[in-house]
Amino acid sequence: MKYVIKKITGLIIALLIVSILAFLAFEIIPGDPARTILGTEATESRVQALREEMGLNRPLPQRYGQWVKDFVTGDMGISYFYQIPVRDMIGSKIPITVTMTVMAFCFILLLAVPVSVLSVRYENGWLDRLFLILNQIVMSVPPFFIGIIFTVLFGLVFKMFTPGGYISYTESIPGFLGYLVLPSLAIALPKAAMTAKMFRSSLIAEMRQDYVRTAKSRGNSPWQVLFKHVIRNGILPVITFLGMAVADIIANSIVIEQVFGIPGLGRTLISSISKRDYPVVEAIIVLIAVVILVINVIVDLLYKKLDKRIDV
Amino acid sequence: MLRVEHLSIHFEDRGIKEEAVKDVSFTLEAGQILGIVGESGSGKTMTALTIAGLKKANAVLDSGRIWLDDTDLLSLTEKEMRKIQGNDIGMIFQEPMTALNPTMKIGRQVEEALVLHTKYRKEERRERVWKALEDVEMKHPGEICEKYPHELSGGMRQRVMIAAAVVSRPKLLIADEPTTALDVGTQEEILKLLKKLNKKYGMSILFISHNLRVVKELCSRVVVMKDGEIIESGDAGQVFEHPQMNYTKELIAAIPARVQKNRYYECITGGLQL
Repeated sequence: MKYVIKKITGLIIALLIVSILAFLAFEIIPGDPARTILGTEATESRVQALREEMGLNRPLPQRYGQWVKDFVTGDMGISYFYQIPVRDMIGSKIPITVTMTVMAFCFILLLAVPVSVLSVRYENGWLDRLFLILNQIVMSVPPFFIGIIFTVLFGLVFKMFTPGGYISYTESIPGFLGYLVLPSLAIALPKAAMTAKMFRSSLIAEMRQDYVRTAKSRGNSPWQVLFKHVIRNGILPVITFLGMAVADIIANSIVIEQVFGIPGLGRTLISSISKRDYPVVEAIIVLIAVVILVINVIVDLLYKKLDKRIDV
Repeated sequence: MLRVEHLSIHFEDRGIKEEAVKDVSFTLEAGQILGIVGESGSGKTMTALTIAGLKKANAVLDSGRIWLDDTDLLSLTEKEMRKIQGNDIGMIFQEPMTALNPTMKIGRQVEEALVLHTKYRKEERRERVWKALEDVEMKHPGEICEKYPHELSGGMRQRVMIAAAVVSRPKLLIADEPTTALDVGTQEEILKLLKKLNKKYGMSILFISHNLRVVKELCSRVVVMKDGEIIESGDAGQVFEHPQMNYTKELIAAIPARVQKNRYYECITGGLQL
């Protein structure tokens, strides 16, 4: 329990720091939102009037305080550019990005776990070697490039989907999920290769442990040794890695959304940055930070649950 | 019961051959405790692991047979051997710290041989696990079952290892330096325990150790190994009282005298006594 409290305190401090940084970043970078809204033709006095109206002339700490207070109560502010609540603007995008992230994460597990377990079971065999080479190749290709290859290959050559023909979840759930398969896979592949490489070496290290010999001495078959004894121990370092991978998945989803024309959080984030639409950008950054930090706390707690030796 | 005949094994490491066990033969009768002594590298652990079907891939069998009753263990396939491991042959190891799975509850580790080799239902298994833990003199078996290895002391872990090895009542228990990693007091308790289990269940024990004092205390027969060969064997009392080979004499002379009240005087005068 003490451990949980400690972790959550850390989480809140981290969130505060992220929110301050997100807030400050737009104070520092050049560009005036009032000017952006009114256009370059507008007179200085109109810009000043709008600045006053938007509260941009108030002192920084006061604005930050107000923003945090509103954010906690669920009010993310009004988009400077579209003049609609940020909540309404990004609310419909969240399911898209979340679905893609979850799908990518599932693909990572579905690919990395069997590959590494088979590699370890047949260590140094032809399958292990084949996986090693494939891993090395896939690991070194960035997701956006895999996305482009997928678009060309499955979209233009095999005509399995229409590139850019995104189907919204409000239209058709299966269509929506179907369209997200390739982008999710593009994000997942390099990470899956890294996870497999890591899991393999972690499992191989575990296979050299004494308790494996004990397990064999009781008559466990090689598969039983792996599944009943080794995987549970070997997965521990990988869990930490997967927790951190979530941050990468989200970061890559921003890029992949551009490649596949998916109107998710990433697209909104990029267009809002170029429009100096601070409230939207800050809201998205803080949301992503919350997700990543919460996942990392979950990872730590999971780790503790799996490895009873950790007590804090 | 266990008969090892002309066992020869060599290691192969990047084309270099090294003989590990040379023409080793010995017999362990049912209900007996046989000690194999020798320094590290003498081939004693290699012999034990081969009997248990656990020799490493780089250890190559040259010749020999290992009979467990009427079965030649070396002629079995891996699958057939697995039916014997944990069922007819139980094994305990030197390091109770690392020989137990750190993320598995004690109960499940002790129970494992039963899960693998019997069709007992859950309740029957639990009963037998508790019995085994009581056999190794662990109090509160129910609580122990729910613990993880790191929550136990070294001596308790070795007891758990023994319980896990004997839960299926194997004919043969192979103990590879089971007391080496323990302090002297705990060593004594473990030895007593092994003796008790040997008497109670008529379980034969193959006891591997470099510690002659321990072997002398426990074993009825003893085999002395050096550089992969058996250089002396026989009745434990006979070997210790009248060693034939110089090497054995040296080993015996190297046993530190036990500081006991009535022998204290002998110790300080340099009279090495056992």
